[in-house]
Amino acid sequence: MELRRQSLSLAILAALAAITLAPVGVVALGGLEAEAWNKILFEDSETRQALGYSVILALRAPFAAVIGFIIAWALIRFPIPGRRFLEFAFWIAFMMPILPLTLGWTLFLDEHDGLLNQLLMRLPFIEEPVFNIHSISGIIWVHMTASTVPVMIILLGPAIRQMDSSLEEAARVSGAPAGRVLFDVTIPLLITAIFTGTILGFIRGLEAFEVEQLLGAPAGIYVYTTRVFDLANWQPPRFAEAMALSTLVLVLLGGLAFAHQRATRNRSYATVVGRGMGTQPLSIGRGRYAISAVLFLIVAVSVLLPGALLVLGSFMTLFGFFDIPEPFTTANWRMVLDDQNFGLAARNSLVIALGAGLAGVLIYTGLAYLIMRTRLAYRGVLDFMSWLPWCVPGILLGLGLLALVLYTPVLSAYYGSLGLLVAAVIISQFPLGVNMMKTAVGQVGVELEEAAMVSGAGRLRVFYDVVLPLVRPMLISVFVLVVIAGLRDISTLVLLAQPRSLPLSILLFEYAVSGSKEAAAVVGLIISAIVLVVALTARRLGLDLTSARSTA
Amino acid sequence: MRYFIVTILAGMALASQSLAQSADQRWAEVRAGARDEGRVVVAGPAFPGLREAVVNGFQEATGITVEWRPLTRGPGPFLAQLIREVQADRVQTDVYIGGSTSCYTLNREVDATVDMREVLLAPDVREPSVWRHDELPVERGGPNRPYHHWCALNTAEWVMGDLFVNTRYVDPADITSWKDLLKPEYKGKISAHDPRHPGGGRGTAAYLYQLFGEDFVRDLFIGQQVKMHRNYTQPAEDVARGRAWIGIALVQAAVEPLRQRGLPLQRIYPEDGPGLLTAGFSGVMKLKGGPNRNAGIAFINWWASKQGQEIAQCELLELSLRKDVDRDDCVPDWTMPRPGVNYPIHSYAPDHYFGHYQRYLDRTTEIFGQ
Repeated sequence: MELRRQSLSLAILAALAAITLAPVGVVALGGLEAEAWNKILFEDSETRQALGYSVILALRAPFAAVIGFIIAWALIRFPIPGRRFLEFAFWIAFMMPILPLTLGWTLFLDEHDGLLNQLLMRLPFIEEPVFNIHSISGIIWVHMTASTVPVMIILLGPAIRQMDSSLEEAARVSGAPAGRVLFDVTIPLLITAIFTGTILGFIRGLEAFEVEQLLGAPAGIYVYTTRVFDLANWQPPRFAEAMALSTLVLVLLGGLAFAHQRATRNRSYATVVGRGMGTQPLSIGRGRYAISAVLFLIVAVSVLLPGALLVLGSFMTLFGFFDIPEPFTTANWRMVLDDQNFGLAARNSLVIALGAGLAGVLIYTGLAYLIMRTRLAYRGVLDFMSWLPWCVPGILLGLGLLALVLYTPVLSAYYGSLGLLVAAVIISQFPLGVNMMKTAVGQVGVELEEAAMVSGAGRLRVFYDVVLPLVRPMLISVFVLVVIAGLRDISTLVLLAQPRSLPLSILLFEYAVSGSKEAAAVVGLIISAIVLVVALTARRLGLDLTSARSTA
Repeated sequence: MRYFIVTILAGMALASQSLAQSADQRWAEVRAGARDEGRVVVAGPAFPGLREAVVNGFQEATGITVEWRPLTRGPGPFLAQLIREVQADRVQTDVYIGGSTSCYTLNREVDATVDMREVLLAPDVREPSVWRHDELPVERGGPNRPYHHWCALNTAEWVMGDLFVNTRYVDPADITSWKDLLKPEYKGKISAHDPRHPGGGRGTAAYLYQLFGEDFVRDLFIGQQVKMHRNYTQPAEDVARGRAWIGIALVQAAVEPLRQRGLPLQRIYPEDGPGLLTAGFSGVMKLKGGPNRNAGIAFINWWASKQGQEIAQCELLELSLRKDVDRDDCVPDWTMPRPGVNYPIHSYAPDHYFGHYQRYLDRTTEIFGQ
C-alpha cells in the first residue's frame, strides 16, 4: 500500500514537473554557457542597463502597495457611496488587457502630439512638453493606473476584511485620532499582507513585457524581458545570452517566490478571534462623499480616460495626429473586421480561452484536492511546483516551451498548434488556479467526504459527487479568470503563436509594434469589450470574483 | 563542318525546346499540386495594404488561400524563428518576401532556401527578356562565394540611403553632405532604422561605412545618439511628429502615408552620397521544408508575374524590374534614379555584399559596443 502511494506520488510529481518545471529547466540548461554569462554580466552594457531598468520599474510595487492599501481600506472601512461599484471597477481595471489602455495613454501623454501636452503648451508659461509617455515615468504611470494599484487593492482587500474592525473602534473609543488608529492599529495588523502584496507586485513588475515593449523600446529603454525578447530575435539569434539572462532572473524571482510562499504558508493576521469578526464600516460623516469622489476620480483616470482615448484612436486616420486634414475615419474598423486574420484570430482566442479554462479547472482542482485531502508523499513539493510558474515571466515560459517543443521529437508535432497555446495559458495560470481551488477544497468539511467513504464510495466518486459540486462556485470563478487570462495574454504566447494559431491578443501586439496603432486600437477595444462582457456576465451570475481571486 | 554546326545548333534547339517542355510540364504539375494543397504560408513586410492586396490577388488568380505572416518587427525575429524551425525540421512557412540578402545570412546558419532554378517555371517569368536588364534578377553569391546557388529572385530596383528631414525643424538646404549630420544641433535629434539588424538601416550604414569609413559611422550613430528602431514605421513617425528632426533609412511604405497627409517630411540628397541601388523588400525565396511545396512555387511565379508585380509595385512602392509593369504612378519619384546621377553601388550586388557590407558586419559589435 505504502509502495503504491509512493509510486503514485512520484508519477504525479513527474507529471507536474513536466508541466511546470520542464520549460524552466530548458531555459536554465540553455543558460549554462560561461561565455554567455560573461557577456551579460560584464561585457554587454545594454543588458546590464536593462536589468537596472527592470529593478527600477519593479520598485513601484511598495508605492502601489501603499496606495492600494489606502484605497482598499477606504473602500472597506468607510460607508462611502458607490463602493460596490468602485470595487468592481477596480476589478475591471485589473482584468482589462493593458496594451489597449497603453495605446490610449499614448494619445494623451505623447511628448509631441499628446492631447495633454498640446493643451498645456497653449498656456503662456509652458513652452516645452511636460509629459512624455515614452519614458521610465511614463511606463510607471501606465502600470500604476492600469495594473499595479488595482492588483494591490484586490490583494489587500480580503486581508482588511478579515481584520476585526472592533479593534479600530476600541482605539477610537479610547480617544485615538483616525491617523493614529491607522498607524498604530491597522497597519501593524496588516503588515504581513502589505509585505506579501509588495513582493508579489515586485515579481509582477519584473515580469512585465508588453508595456515596456510598446513604450520603452522606441525610446531605447529596455527591461530584461524585452531584452530577452530582443536577444532571442537577434540576427543571428543570441539564445545563449537570452537563456543566461533568463536564468539569472529566474534565480532572483524563484527566491522571491519561495520567500513569499514561506511567508504566506501559515498566514495569520492575528485578528481572527474566538468570536465573530466585526466588519462594520467606520462612521466618518460627510467625509465619505469626499472619499467617494476621489475614488471615482481615480477610476475615471485609470480606466475611463484611456478607454475613451482608445475609442478615439480607433477612429483616427493616423494614430496620434490630430492636426492633419480629415483626422478621423471609420476605415480602421472596416479594415480590421474585413481582415480574414481577424476572424481566424477571434476563433483562435475563443478556443485558447475556453480550452484553457475548461482543461485548467480540471487540472487545478485535481491537484488542489491531492494537496489538500490526500496523504500523498511530496505534497509540499507539489505545492511549491504549482507556484513555480508565478516566478517565470510569460516571455521566459514561452521561450522555454518553444525550445521544449521544437527540440523534443514527440512534442514537435504540436509546434504552432492551438494545443500548445492552450497548454501555455494553463501553465501560466497554475498558481492562481491551484491556490484558489485549494482554498475552496479546504472549505469543504472533511466529514462530508468521510460520510461518503463510509457509505462505500471510492476516492474518485467522492471527488466527483461530493467535492466538485461543493466547490462549483469557485470552479466557475477560476474558469472565468483563466478565460480572461487566455483572452489577454501576450507575453507567454508571443513566441509560440504561428499564423494559423494567432490569437487576438497577439494580433493586437503585432499591429501595435508594427506601427498600425489605429488597427491595434480597434482590436484592443474588441478584446476589452469581450473581457468586460465576460466579467459582467460573471457578476450577473452572482460570482464573487473579488473574494475568489484574493485567495490566490 | 557546316553539317556539324547545323547538327550542334539543332541539338541545342531541341535541348532548349525539351527543357522548355520539361519546365512547362513541371509547371502544370506544380499548379495541380498547389490546387490540392489549397493554401500557402507567406512571410512578408508588414506594410498596410500589402497583405490584403497579395492575399486577395493570389486567391482570385489561383483559388489558393494565402496565410500572411507579417514581419512586424523586421526580418530578424522571423529569420531567428525560421532557423529554429529548420533545425527542428518543423518549417511552417513556404515563402519569404523581403531583403534577398537574407538568404545569405540564413543559409550561413542552415540549409534553408530552394534553388530558384527549380522554382521559376511559368513561361512569362522564366523568360529573361521580360526583366529590365534582360536577365533573371536572381540573387547569387557567385562561383567563388558561399551560397552560390540561386537563392532569391529580386523583382525591384530603386534608390535607397533615404535621408529625410522634418522641414519644421530643419531647412533642407542646411544638409548638403552626410557629414552635416554630425553638427552638434542634431545630437539626439536623429532617428533611424536599426543599423545593427537586417534591413534598410544596416544597408544604409554599410553604404556610409563604404563611403566615409568606420569612424564616421560611429560618430554618427553613437556620437549623435541616434534613436534606433527595429520596425520601419517608428523612425518615420519620429520625424513626422518632431520627436526627431532627421531620419535615416526611412522606407517609402512608411513615409508616403505620412507625406500624403501633409506631414512635413522631405527627402535630402547629400552631394557626397546620393544613395545606392537596392532591391528593397522585393526579394522572394522558397523555403525548404515548408508545408505547401507546390503552392509555394505557384505563389512565387504569381508574385513574379505582371499581375503580382503590379500589386508589389503599388504596395511596396518599389519600382519593378518587369518591363511590362506600367504602374510607375504608384512609385514615389524620390525613389527613382535621378538623371545624370551615377549610382555605382547596388546594396545586393555580391561585390558589395561580400565586400564592404561584410566588413561592416564584422565591425558592428566594435562600432556599437555590443
